[in-house]
Amino acid sequence: MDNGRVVEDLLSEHLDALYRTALRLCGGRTADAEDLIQELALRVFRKSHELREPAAARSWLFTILTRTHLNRVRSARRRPEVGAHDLDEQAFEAALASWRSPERPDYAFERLQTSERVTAALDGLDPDLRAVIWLVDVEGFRQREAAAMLEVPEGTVASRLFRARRALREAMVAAAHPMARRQGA
Amino acid sequence: MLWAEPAPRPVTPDTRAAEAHVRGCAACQAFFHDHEALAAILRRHAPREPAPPHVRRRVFDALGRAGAQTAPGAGLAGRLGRVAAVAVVVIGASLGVWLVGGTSADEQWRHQLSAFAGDHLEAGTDLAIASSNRTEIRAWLDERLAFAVHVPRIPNAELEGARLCAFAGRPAGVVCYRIDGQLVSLYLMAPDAADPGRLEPAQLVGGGDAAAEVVAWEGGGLVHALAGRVTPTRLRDMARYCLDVPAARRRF
Repeated sequence: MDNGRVVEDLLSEHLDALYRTALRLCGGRTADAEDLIQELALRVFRKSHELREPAAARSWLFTILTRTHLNRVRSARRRPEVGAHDLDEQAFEAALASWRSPERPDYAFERLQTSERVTAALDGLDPDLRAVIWLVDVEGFRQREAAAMLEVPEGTVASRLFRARRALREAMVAAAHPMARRQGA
Repeated sequence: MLWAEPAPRPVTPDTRAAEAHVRGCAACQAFFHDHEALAAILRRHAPREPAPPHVRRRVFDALGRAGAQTAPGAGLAGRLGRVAAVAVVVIGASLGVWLVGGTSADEQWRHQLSAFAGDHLEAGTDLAIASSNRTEIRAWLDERLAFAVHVPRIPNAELEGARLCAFAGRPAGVVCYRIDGQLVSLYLMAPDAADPGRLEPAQLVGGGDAAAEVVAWEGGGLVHALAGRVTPTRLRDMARYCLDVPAARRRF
């Protein structure tokens, strides 16, 4: 099977997952996601000779997607690869130790278990945090795979995942108790 | 450590010690339970928008253009040419093209038929979805194609599944049947003004030999083709059930 056929088949099989990931990377902006997907397709076409192991095709496609996205972001605004908000190891361990579970987390979430609300909470996250939580928790990549895709250290991925989940939980709890939030404000 | 390397993780003395600690620590258990619950909610409720048909079309159009811009013999244009060439070789010099209700088929149709035959022979039983449920197959294809798909019920043929393919960047749905022990592929593809000469309603064009027979027609706004290692008569019989147009059935 030649490269052209491989590219077509790969994109046919994974396009839905790549598109929804592009949509999340772009914060729900469909026009940006569509442009990103088209650029991805052309990069995949040009790089198809680099795919040696078919079993790794999914990870390979997502790596190209995330790096294409990062390149676009970087060209728009120069930024360090490790964000200023990333916790160093010591701060991360301290944050882990200070985690407090809500009394009944399931209760807080049960009224929020709709795609629309989860989508809104996800799209409200910082882009770096959103990329990590999407790749790890939704698409199921291991933290080391996400680190390679995003070109950051594994510890940074762990830190961002922690922060993303914490921010997401806070957003969902706030959305679940709008009255309490208003009263507390 | 356990946080950074969720299960399944390599078993080391450190991970064993950490796991032992978690088993006896209510706070750690609550922490992990909390995060696992959140991750489960995400997995269950995260938006999973399929790629819209126009995005899928745009991607394959871009691939088609990219292939056409590469050197001769490379890329998608070259691939289509090679597929056609391989199919012509496979099918052999005895490839005969016939047209029901007409007198000849032009070169474009000859190449398109060869491409269908080549794809059928190459793909074999490599299905993206295996199902005998017409509704399920139709829903799967509808999610992925820019045009509505009719999945016909064909007497004596068992529905096996579906897959996608593309010809010169034009996406096509392929519904696969098993009849007389042989796999038969039904191709559904939007027509292109620059592609094979348009057929009159209920005209059928076909060709092939013992390697793979192909029949193709246009109807319902789509190009249809059946390819398989069965007789032309069998394919024409199957074609009667592939288009829900009584006039076409009569003429086939």
